[in-house]
Amino acid sequence: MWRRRTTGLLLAPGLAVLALVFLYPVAVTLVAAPAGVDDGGLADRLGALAADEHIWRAAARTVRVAALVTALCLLLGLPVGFLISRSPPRRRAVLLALAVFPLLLSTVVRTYSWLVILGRTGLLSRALTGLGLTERPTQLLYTETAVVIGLTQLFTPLVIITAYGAFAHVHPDLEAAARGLGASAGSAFRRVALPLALPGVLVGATLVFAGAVTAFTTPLLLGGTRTPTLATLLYDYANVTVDWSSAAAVALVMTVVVLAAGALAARVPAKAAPS
Amino acid sequence: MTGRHPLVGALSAVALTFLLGPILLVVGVAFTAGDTIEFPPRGLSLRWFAQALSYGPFLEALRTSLLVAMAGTVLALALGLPVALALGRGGARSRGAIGTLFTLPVVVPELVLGYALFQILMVTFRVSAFGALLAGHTVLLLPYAVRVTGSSLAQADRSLEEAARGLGAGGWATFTRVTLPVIAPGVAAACVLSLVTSFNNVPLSLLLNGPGTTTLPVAMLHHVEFAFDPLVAAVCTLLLVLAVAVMLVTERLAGFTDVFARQEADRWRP
Amino acid sequence: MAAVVRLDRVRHTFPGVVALDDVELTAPPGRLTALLGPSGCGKTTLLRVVAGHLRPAAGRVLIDGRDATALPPERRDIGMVFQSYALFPHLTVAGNVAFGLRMRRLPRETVRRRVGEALDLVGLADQASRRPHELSGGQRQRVALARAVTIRPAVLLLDEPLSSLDARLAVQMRGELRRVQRETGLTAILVTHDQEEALELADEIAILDRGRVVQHGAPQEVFRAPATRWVAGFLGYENVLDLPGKGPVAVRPEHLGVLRPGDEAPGDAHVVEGTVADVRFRGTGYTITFRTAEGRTLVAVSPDDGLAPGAPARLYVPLSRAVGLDGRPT
Ligand SMILES: Nc1ncnc2c1ncn2[C@@H]1O[C@H](COP(=O)(O)OP(=O)(O)O)[C@@H](O)[C@H]1O
Ligand SMILES: [Mg+2]
Repeated sequence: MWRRRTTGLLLAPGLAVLALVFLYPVAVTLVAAPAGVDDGGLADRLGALAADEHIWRAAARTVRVAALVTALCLLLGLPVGFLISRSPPRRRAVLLALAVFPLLLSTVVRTYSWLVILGRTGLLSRALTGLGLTERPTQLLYTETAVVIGLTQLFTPLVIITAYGAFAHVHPDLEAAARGLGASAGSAFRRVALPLALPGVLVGATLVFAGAVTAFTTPLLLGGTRTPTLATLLYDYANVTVDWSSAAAVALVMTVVVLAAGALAARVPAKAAPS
Repeated sequence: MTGRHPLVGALSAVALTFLLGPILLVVGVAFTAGDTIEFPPRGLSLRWFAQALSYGPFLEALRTSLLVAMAGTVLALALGLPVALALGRGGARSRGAIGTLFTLPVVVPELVLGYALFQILMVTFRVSAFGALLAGHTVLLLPYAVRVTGSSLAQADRSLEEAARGLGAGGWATFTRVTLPVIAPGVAAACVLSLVTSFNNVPLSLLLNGPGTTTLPVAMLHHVEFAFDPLVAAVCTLLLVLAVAVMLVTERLAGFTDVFARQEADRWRP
Repeated sequence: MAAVVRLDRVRHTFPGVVALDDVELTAPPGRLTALLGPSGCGKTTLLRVVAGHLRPAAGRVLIDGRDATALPPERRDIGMVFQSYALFPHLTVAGNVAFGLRMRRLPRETVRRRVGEALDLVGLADQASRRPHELSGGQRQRVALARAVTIRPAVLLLDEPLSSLDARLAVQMRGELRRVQRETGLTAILVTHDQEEALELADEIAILDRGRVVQHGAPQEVFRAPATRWVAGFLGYENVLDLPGKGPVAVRPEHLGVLRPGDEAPGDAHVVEGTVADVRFRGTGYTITFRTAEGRTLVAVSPDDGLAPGAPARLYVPLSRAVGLDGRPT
């Protein structure tokens, strides 16, 4: 243990950078008006918020998409997480690596594949016409559905990882005990494994929700300009129409939604974190 | 055992196919001899790889990406490791609050951070685009640097450092000869994680854009928005190979799945 | 060379706990002083104060009469064997042992020689290039010991050095520890919660209870005359009973005698009547729980069986073995 001075010296550079390059800019942008920007700060911003129907429509879409994506990710990720937690070590390592691998790739790379699949001349459209299910090419691209599909693929690894961690904490003997007491495999899972893993699974769900609310590349590429979410709207205001006051308003809404989700996740007991 | 239930296996197969299938599809597209994004590819050739490797804008963007990722990682570690040390070994009274403060940059949406830095650094204080980009990436990576090295420190037996002191090592010698070697895997993990996070980032890089500061993902994004050729598929394939290499190296260094799985899942835990 | 360590009214508190409560203690030069006490009584805290890893809230640490309270650990010249051994995982056995010598910037040749000597001392010369994780518990213990003594410290501190070894190895290592301490002639403070270990190894024993030194003396003296009721209980004087004319006394189970019907008690003994409550086999004999007529429970150890629960029986207390508790603080 060192003296207080050493501790202070170690903290100082990090804190200074954090304050200058993060706390100050974010606080000013969200709450006050930056110098040179002609708006009255928070009051005007809330005014813009209340008046701008675009923002509300985008917010509603964003939350709707995020909720749907969260549900789909749980549906896809939970079985994999459970399977991994109950696999022998070698297989577990391989499956986990497969599930985590996509996290190494940029969202651009991961979203790009859906352009190949969902476009008018894409794989899916041609498959549907080829099978005689549709007569004309189907355009799935630039729809909310496309965004949901893309985001689900993007975030399923998070559910797999957190679910794996949570199920790994549930000793397999507990299920064996339930089976011994007469439970079927399904009800042993539903009545024993799942409830015990629930806190960890909830953390995963929150991560997905928050990620889907702030996701940018995927809605931009798959949703296009016709289906703006908060993120693409913010980019639009900031970079295309250069309406800084509205941009800050969107930033505020997005931050509030994400922090609310984060606060919810932080209330989940810590023991559910993966080991 | 319930883990062997056929339903679990079937659902998992579906999920993994959905997760990895599309990524592999892109590899197929990249080998096309045709001019459009298409699967199955129309004839096989390496022409799009050749083109990708000689396409000026991408090469320059790659250079920017690598530069920002490396500089950002070095800066984040240089700032974050001392913070982790102070939080883990120092006598700071407000450890909890300071620790939480350093997790905030990953909690605030990246797009919001990017917009804020654009407003304050570039518009108000006239910082160059590259300066703002580097600052943004540094602050984005800082939480990872603090937490990954911090959890390594927390796992290291404190009496190792006491033993070194007792054997005559001063504070600095104890750090360089005992603490640092012991937490080396954590530092390596923090480096890999930071490099990957920075290299892949889109929102910050997009908003803090200026002459000569376009990063590779942003360049790819722009290309996809305007052109429908398989050039980006070839780049994606090359990046896929790079990612596999990173995975194998990280597995050696610190346990790949540990590093990435833990970090993503712990994002909300100060 | 061998130094005297003196703690002068050392006090330290952690939030909510008084870990060291005005501790007065002198560890004489060249001798092994054992600090004996239950878990959580402040033993490790005391060692950390002596080694300089913890600055006491009050009081002084004197090494050879010089006030060392404010000295950082690296300038105290104290060798310590940690409870976890704290071997550097990234260094070999030789690297661990050489660490302190390198910090002293000794010539390479000297370092090599002294590492060799230290490893010879603990019988690990052939393991020099191994890593700690490749060693057994006993071997790690020896490396930690070699690393601590090779700097030729003024004082050697040992924090429960045998507690993480299995029982047989721990007993075997006692002899080893004693030999190394004798051969090096170091002033040593050994912390333990194992009274047998303390009695066997120590020249002096200090008993610690909730941060206070409650008794300090030669092993025989401490063992035969516990200073307080608490020490008596801690040292295994489990039976408390009233003897006519002597008041309350404490007796160890192995000193209570069991009388068969018709047996006579030895001359200098007091006889207690009661019934057998329980008989348990314990390998070398039987543990007999006994209820006296006044309703006290006594535990005795008897080499043979022949008693059944519920049967009336008589015990005797050799008066020379009874430790009078009257006048002793609790
Ligand atoms: N770093 C610490 N922070 C808070 N309390 C501590 C700390 N170290 C020790 N304590 C407390 O001080 C008391 C003495 O601890 P310690 O010296 O480790 O006991 P021993 O080694 O005899 O088992 C215990 O009540 C313990 O809980
Ligand atoms: Mg202890």
